[in-house]
Amino acid sequence: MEQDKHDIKPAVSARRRLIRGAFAAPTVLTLYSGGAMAANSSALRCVVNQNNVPVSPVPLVSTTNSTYFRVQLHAVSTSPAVLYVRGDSLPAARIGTLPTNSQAQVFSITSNTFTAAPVATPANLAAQNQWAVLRVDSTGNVVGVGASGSGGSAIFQSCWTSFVAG
Amino acid sequence: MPTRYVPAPGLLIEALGDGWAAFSPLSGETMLLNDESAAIIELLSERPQDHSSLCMALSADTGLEPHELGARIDDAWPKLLEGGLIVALAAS
Repeated sequence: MEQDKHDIKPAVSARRRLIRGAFAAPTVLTLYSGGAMAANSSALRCVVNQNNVPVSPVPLVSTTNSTYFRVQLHAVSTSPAVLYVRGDSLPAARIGTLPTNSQAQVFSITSNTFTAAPVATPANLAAQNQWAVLRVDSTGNVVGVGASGSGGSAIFQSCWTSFVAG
Repeated sequence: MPTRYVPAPGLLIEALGDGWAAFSPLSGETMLLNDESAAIIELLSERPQDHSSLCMALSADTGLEPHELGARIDDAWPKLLEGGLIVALAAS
């Protein structure tokens, strides 16, 4: 169902505060909450906690917005059923047998795992509206995609945000 | 059909000094916004908008040409989405 009305109007209008003839880059600055700071003894605490109590089971591929730390899947238009994880879509902080930046790896949305070894990134890979969760170890490295790889835990985007912000 | 966006359900936003404070139940985060980000959310709260219609509306507010606003609005979508401030509507 489409949402046509959203009752979030503050008493002051942001539009009225815009200056004619100028439009700065929109900014969004996330505040580090005092509660989180009190609970965290280190920037990695959120990730460590998540690995101590892993999200289980790891969700299958999502086609909608989710709150999981995730990677977008890609496909060649002539073979849309064959989905790839691009190495250059993965964060630099990664360990294990994951594709390098010049590689891609076939990912099954049925088994939620890689189904072949990494290959050179095929030409004309296009992003699909499908996403696979990433698993992160307690030091913040990506160690797997979906159920592939070993160790780590799927974490929520808010946890990852806290981690990188810390 | 172009993707249209609306504010995230339950989003709270209030003026705070020269900027704006927003809390998103989606991300659980509190964020500081400038007038430009808040104006985008304000426009989306009036009706769902896609990139082009938003640029047109902001063009009317600022007097700038829509194409002058395009790149900055393009950069804003990921920030607003990742912050849980807005959501994309499913194509109908």
